Amino acid sequence: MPIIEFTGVQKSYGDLEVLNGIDLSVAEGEVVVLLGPSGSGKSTLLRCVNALEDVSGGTIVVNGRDPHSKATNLNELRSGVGFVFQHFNLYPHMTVAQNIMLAPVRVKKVSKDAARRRAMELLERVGIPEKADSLPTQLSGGQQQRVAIARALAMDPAIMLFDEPTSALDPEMIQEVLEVMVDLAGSGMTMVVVTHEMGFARKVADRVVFMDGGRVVESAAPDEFFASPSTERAQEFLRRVSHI
Amino acid sequence: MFNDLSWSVVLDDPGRSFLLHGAWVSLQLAVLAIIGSTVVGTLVALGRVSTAPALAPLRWLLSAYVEFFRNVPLLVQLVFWSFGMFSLDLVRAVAAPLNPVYSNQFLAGLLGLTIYTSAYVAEALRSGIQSVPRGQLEAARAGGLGYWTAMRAVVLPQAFALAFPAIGNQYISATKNTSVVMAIGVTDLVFQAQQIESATFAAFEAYTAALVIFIVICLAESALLALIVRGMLTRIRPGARTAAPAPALES
Repeated sequence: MPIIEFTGVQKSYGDLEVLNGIDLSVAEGEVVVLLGPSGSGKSTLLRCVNALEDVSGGTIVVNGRDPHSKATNLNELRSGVGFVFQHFNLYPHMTVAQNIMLAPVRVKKVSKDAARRRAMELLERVGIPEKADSLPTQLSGGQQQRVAIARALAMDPAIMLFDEPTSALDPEMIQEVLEVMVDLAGSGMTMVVVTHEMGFARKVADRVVFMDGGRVVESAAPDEFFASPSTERAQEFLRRVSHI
Repeated sequence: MFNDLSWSVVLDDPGRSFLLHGAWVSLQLAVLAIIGSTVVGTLVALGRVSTAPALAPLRWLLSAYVEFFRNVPLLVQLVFWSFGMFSLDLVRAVAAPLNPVYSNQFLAGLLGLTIYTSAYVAEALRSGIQSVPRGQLEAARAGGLGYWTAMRAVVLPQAFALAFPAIGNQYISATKNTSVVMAIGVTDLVFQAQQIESATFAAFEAYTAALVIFIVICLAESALLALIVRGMLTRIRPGARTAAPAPALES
């Protein structure tokens, strides 16, 4: 039983077809990396999983529930799905600890003390416990993204979604964020990652899904995909991204 | 050339207590209108940025409210509330329990001033809400917070900080606008100055005193607001670089 299943998912903005019938399933504990050129629909697909975007057609089942059905308690579904944004989106008016504690306290009604203890554990895990009482603006980009990961983990999600988590970072800060993600993948977390970090995809992914023009063009194990992509489009993409 | 001035008519009783009483009425009016317009303006702004299709009629109504009250002169509005609305038995009956403390003229003035100022506060706050990067609401919703909780805990604190310079200007305007209520018979500062004038014919002294009291009140208010703005913005402004501003909070 897959933990996420897309069946014929379509999404369009007016005449612009962004997703053109996506069929894809993600098993529990699997790490799936979505690759593809800009505008291929990777981020949109990811955002449809927790209904940050509506779909125009098809169905998605997440943890046995449809995020786009009116009958679904969306807040509850989202509590079980961590989302990490390209631009971190930390709350600038709250400290790092308060950022992490907000959802557990407001949604799960965890006591402030328990939420604070959990926040400290998570900050320990992402390597910056000393920043608990700093404001996000006092942190580097890499540190902010690690806080954002800790914030998503605070709800104990079954699934973590990453939308280009290192794209907004200075090059020397990418590593520290990827290390946290590698650690997370090692712990058995189900992860769907939109990224341009080929090294991460090669090393950590269980499966690489290559998208283009709103379609899944290829889906393969990373060794297989990077060594000999079976489609023309994927071959071309890999040629273009492997500079030199 | 100022030998003919007699400042004792405003510095000594009874003139002094007339003015102080008037200033107290004006100040109450200002503070209550500021509190009221903050509450009403916030609700209107929240309604206007809502996106639920079912709330479309409400959005239309609120936008009509804002346009209507911003485009009718305050004096006309006050006259309408005082001589129009408060001539109705029903309105007088509703206001009756408050009459031991506040006259109907005062209540009409407060109502008019609040409704007028709320329209401006709502617009200032709405633009503040729209200046908060869209990712903020998305991050909060993605964490499982409901729309209203996310607005309250994440978006509104930032929107208030961003909009507070503009909202503060409306507070100052409201304070100055309290002087218009004299026209509907509220015994405010200007009214009391006029009383002194008609009793003593010392027009220059009486109105100078009113002017000075207004300047003191408004400058003190400005200083207080500047202090609040600085405190609010130091947290939010540098944070604006964590994400690009979104054009609007649609969908």
